[in-house]
Amino acid sequence: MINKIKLGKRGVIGEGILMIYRLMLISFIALVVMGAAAVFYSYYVDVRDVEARIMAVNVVNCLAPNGVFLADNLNGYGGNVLEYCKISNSGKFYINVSVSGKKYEAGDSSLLWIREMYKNSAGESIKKYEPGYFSEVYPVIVDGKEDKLKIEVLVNHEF
Amino acid sequence: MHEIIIHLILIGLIFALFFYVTAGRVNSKEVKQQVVEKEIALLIDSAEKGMSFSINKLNMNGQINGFKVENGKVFALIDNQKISKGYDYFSKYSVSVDEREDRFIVHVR
Repeated sequence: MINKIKLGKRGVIGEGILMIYRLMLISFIALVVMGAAAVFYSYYVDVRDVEARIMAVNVVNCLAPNGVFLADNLNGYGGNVLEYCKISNSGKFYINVSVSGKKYEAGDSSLLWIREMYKNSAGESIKKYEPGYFSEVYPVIVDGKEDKLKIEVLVNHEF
Repeated sequence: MHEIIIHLILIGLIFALFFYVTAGRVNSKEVKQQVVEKEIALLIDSAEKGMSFSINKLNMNGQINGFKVENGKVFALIDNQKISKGYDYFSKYSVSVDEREDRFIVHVR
């Protein structure tokens, strides 16, 4: 009688272990199918080039309101254009402004060489990591003289 | 007998969760959510101080049942979605949202 009870307990434990194993197997299969669905049905809407363009327009309007570049004000901010324009930098932007032989920048400059790398070669599968880019030259007045302001904006991916 | 029932309930729960997550992907709710959040973030970024714009709750991307702007991010919930990662905007102005019966109004101040 005692032997039978012992055997029954072992059987229950064995059944429990087998159940855990089966559940793990089913969970694994479910995860694989979910992963496949995630890969096939996910789609990334890329707006980084548009963001770069909007950022460039905002920065130029801030640095040169009505086309007059106010360099003295910017020097007080260590040349950080985003800080000067009170635009919050979430870490995904790099801005480079060149005017009258001076350079002002803000953000992570490593985005420049990432973009260079993509220009040279990039497979389709990693294309979504390419930074958004916008560059333009605007005519401005600096110290009463006509000059050019070149702005370059890069936007990092969000992954 | 009890073990089999527990077993079946657990398998049922796993598959219910699996179908719930997969359905979200297949019916493209997440893409629609992405479109709404990014469209509104870009509108906020390009808006001047004092501008307002409204978003209809019954949108071409579905029914927007939740919308908020918080910590520099835009969050939209489409067709009874429960979660959103949100999308960053970078406007230097203060942004707030008013909810009306049929639309949300975004104010850039």
